[in-house]
Amino acid sequence: MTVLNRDNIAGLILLVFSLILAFYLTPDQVESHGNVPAALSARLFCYITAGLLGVLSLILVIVSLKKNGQAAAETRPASWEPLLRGLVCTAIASAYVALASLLGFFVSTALVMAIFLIYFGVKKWSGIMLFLIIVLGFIYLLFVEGLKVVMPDGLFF
Amino acid sequence: MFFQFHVIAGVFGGVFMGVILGSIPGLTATMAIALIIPMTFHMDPVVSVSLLVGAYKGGTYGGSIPAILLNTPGTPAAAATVLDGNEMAKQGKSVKALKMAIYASVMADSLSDMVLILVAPPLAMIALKMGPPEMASLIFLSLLIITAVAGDSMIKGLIVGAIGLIVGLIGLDSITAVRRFGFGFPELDEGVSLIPMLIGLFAVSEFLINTESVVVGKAVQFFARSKERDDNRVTGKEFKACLPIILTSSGIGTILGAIPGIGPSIAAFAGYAQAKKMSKHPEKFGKGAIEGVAAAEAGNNAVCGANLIPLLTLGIPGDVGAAVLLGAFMIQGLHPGPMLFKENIVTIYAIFMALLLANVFNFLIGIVYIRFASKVVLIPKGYIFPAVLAFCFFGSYGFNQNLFDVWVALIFGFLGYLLRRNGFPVAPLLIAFMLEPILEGSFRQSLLMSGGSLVIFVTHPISGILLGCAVAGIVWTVIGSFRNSRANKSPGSAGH
Repeated sequence: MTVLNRDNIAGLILLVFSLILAFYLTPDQVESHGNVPAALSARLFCYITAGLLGVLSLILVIVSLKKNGQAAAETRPASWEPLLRGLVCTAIASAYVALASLLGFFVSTALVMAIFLIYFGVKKWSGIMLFLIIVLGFIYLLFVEGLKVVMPDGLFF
Repeated sequence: MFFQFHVIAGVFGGVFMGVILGSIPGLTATMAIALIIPMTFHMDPVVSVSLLVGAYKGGTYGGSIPAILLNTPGTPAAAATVLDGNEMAKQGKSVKALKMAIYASVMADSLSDMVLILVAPPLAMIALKMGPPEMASLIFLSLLIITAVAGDSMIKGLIVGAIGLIVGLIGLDSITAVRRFGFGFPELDEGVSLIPMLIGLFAVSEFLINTESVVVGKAVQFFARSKERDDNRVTGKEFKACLPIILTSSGIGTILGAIPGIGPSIAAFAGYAQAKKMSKHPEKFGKGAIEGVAAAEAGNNAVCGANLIPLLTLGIPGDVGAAVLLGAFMIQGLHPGPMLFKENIVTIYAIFMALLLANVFNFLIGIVYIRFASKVVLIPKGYIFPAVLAFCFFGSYGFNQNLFDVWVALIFGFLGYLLRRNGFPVAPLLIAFMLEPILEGSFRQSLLMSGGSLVIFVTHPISGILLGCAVAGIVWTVIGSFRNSRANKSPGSAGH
């Protein structure tokens, strides 16, 4: 039995996406103007790019199936752990952006930076505090004082 | 008018700020100009413009520093520099790569400035003669070049390019003003913002990839610098080998930079592709070839001067940075276009002098700054990446002051992470995204001109030649792939 490798799976996912783009998303999300010349239709390029992605994805699937034996061994993930770490960090970053409008950009940045500093192996609290003060101080001077950026209102700063 | 202390100080200050800001991932040359503009309201026009062009040049070079040290281009223009620059850093040759980047940048910048000064009006007139079919064919060819050289697999590069084109479709259609793929978000009416997308694709995805390799609770060090003398300098032999590549890449960057819409990223990749063809060791490209760094940096910096050709002579900005510069010119009461050369000739030549002096300062500041910037590699990753993430999100927010853009950076960061994890290059996505509006606009305008016939792309001579080059490139690549696969299947190749 043929075992699907990463390229097969990626190609198939992209092929399905191109079909969804052509047959669902474009008709649903791009208004049609009826009988206008093709060049005036806002959907023209949507169909061209969807078709292009579909054809290229199909080629990827075919090419990767051809060299499945060697590629599978090379590209199959050894463990799910690294991917899980990436996903957890994405979730933390998402929580950070969500918290920015609630707590304030600087407070949520300080929180998430402290979490990631510990995650990346920084153990000394004095080091973490000093680093946060320097980085956030620089960011404040550059963005708030220099660029006059108005930060989103939060519960704190 | 030019040889006054405050004008020279203005150029120096602009380059200094540009290099520093450009070297911070997420802060671009455009952002550097945007930061400086409010300071220039009450300045003399020459000082003001000198400061801004200095920042533009410094910012473009500065982008190569994080590209080499952190695998994160500080600006989109430095995306091609990552390919070999970061590989050199991994081999302990970060200082050598940084030095080659400054040499190539300054040489290319100076050459394109000379072209700007000498042949600006004729070149701009040629660029002006390019109609929609020519533009569509040129972009098609450019996209093929870009996708062919980015990454190990051409098909994966092309797929990512197609995804970039799809992302570029989001927003109001430029011809009919119909909303496309808005999903109910009014923030998407103007399309996906470039800066957050760039930050997400390169910097946030780099952060996420690095979180994978961390052993929790254990500090991780960056790539160590080699102590060999030759690994920390560009030898005469290396410089001699790179010189034809720098000159060729500068020429490509100058020509492409003179065409509105073709920014430094494309020039960098085009220069890189040409260098790969010219090199005696093309197999080393992407694995730490110094010629790769020289070609990419010469290509993108040559655009700085050339971009000003259509800007100054026609009032058409060549890229985003030049567009911000256009705004700054107008604030000073200078209206770029053919009349500028008649009405403000003294100011124009003062600007030309500022451009040349900016190259000298770029070299001096760059050489000194390398000493400090290269120390970044000695700082534990545990400190750098949380700070980079904070800069990324503040940078994404700062440009439009909109939290939606921070979500955009995060989404594209995750997309970039998934793509890179599976061996897809991310640079073609960004380039295709930037070129999509011009490609689509030119393509549809051409169809309107021809009454819906595709023959127009062949009957226009320049367009036909460009398409011919594209087709020849595809045929060449397919034949090459067949030959490679046949060679691999032949009995003699076993074990190789």
